[in-house]
Amino acid sequence: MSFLGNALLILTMVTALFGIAAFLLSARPGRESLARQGRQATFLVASFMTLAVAVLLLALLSHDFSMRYVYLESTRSTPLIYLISALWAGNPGSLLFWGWLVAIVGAVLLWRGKVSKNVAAYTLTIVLFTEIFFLIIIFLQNPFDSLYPIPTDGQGMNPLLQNPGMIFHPPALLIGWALALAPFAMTIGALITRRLDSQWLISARRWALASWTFLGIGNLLGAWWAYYELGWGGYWAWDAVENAGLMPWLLVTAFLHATMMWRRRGLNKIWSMAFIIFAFFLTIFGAYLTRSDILSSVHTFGGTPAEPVFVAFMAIVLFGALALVIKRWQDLKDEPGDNAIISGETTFFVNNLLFALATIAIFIGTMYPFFSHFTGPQVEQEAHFFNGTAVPVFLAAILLSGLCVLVGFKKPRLAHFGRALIWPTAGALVVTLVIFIFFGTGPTGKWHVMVSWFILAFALFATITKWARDITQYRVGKKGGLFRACHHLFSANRARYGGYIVHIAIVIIAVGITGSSAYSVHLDDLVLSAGQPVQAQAYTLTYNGYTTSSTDTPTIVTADFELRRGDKLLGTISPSLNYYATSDLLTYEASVRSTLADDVYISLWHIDMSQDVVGVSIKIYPMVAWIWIGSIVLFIGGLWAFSAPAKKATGNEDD
Amino acid sequence: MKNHKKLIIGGAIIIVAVAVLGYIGVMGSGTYYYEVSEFLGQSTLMTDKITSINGEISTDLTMDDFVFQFTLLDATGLPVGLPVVYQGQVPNAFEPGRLAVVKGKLDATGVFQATSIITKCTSKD
Repeated sequence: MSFLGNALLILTMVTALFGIAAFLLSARPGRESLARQGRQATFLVASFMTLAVAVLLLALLSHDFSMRYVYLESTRSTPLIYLISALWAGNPGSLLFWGWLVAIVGAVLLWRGKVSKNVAAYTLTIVLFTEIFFLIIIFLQNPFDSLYPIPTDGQGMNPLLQNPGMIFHPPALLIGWALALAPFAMTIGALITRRLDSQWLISARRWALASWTFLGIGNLLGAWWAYYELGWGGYWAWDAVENAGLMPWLLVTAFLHATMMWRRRGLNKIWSMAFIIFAFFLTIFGAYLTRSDILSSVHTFGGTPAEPVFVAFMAIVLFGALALVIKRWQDLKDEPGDNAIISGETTFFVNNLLFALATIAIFIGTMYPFFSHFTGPQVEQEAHFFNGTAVPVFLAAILLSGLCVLVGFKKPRLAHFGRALIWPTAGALVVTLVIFIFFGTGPTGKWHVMVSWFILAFALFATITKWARDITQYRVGKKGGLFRACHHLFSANRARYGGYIVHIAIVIIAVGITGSSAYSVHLDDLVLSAGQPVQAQAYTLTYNGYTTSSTDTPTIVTADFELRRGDKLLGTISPSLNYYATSDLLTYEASVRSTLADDVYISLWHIDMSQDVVGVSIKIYPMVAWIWIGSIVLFIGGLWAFSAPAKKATGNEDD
Repeated sequence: MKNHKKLIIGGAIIIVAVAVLGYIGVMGSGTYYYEVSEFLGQSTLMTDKITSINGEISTDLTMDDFVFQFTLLDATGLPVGLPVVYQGQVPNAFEPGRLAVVKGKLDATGVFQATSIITKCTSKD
């Protein structure tokens, strides 16, 4: 297996090099036919990489412990689903998986890329070049390394990683990262051949949208996993690796918005270039962060011999692409604008700025320990740095999403715009006032929390107002009911309405984040005896004793807490301690009672069985459920937009 | 707005923002992060500031009367250790031999009073 895997990697490498040579030579007059060989090489690379992944998968499934990776990531008793997820659970495997996805992206680009042949040659050259980079780092941390003497059983993935989160979160992010290569490579191809035309724009946007959807879902799944896993800092801890997943997503979002204006008005060209180049750069940079020692993070794989390769590749990508943009500066001149202040031009310009600023703030905060190391002791930026810098920018972007929807892409008539503002503003004021009256006392009534509520409500109402106006307009002089009108608008303008659904999803997620961060209660180091009640917000929790089950491994000690609001019994919450005698391992399982209003989150950190006393941590997080609801809506919105048929370029079809 | 004007404004705002962010970072909010040996190697031990310290949990880990006590060993291999006490929820994979980052303050008796502990995610090999 080891030999077969390595042989496939070498074959891929040779084929990829051949493909690059063929594509580059095909640019010469009279050598056009070579491009065919290049395309065949691209298909072969995808086939070989697929076989390589299949070999590793087979080795995992057949418990071939002669391979070090199989020994490290699985055991004979590992359940099937975690044998499969072991493919990406370890560093070498995740790189192979990513490398495979890159090869698949190349093949799909060939198959349905809808790029003209000249552009395709360069686009696929970039893909193959990226593939070679991955092959080099895969060789340096080879998942096909053999092990001798052959152990009888594996060491296995850490039990903590045997979690549904492991099945979905890493592949979603890896797919999103791999897909981000496509719009980047197409852009470079289009820049080289000076064909920054509508065909390029539409294809690149579609790939970017696919990448965006996977990155968003990958990040949100990560948040969900971290929320339930103790000690991972809740759903978002501004950990370096979380940030590494967030930054490319922000820039792909920015690219999708900037190119809307390019498509309709021929504006934002330099911005679009910068966004897609840095988005791709940051996907590789994120991989580098998790695989190097430059930052300590809870997630990192630890140091790697591949560091110089990463640095070299990132430098080539960044400086090469930026040099190309400068060379093509004349082609990237924007069309004349409308010189108006209240105009789609301005709102989209501000949008560019906000996404750039949020990404820069997160980048500086994330890399701060690295920079600070040069001048003295290492300094880490904590959540409050990000909450004080990136979060206000996010809120501004959400406010802008509401304004953008009302302004549209062109210059609106001022009177119209003024009238359109009335309802959302009034609605948002009422919502803010109601929240202030009911929850506005004490620390929860802080002005910035109230401003957040106003902004979220405004963005929501603005989008709804826009829908209502679209529907009214559509129904003028037409038969058919409200439902029919909605149905028509949503299915005829999938891209635009998919975008609106996403805007609403973001508002819903932001509601969850605002609620849970501004109004949460933490009682972290409680020591409670049986029957002793404790008050947390409106709830009373009483420890009611423990039960032990030791019929199976692990031994599970479950503590029961009775949850009441006033006199009303709401239920029992039962966190547990799990003891694995064979490996002398103790794990902590939190228990959560989740409703739309709030989550009561209890974890047990010690139990004194003889005295019947427990050490517990109780947290109340309001509205967390909305983060997960918003995530589902976000996914639906992304899919809806993606389901739009690829349209012809010009035209103002969605205006 | 004219296009070149927009680029200039955009560029200027971004440069100012980077400067401001750097300033915010320097002026304030960060937490010092040390290896155990770096922390103990300082000429005057820091007792006033919240600090994060990375190290390895020693086998002397005990839990007495709902308080965790252990020595945090130097992760770079130097023969020094920092006594740590902590009460509260410990993360999963909190066990001897594991790398952990403890956050808190050193008290006057030289014991590190931790207020939070995170263990490194175990996805490395």
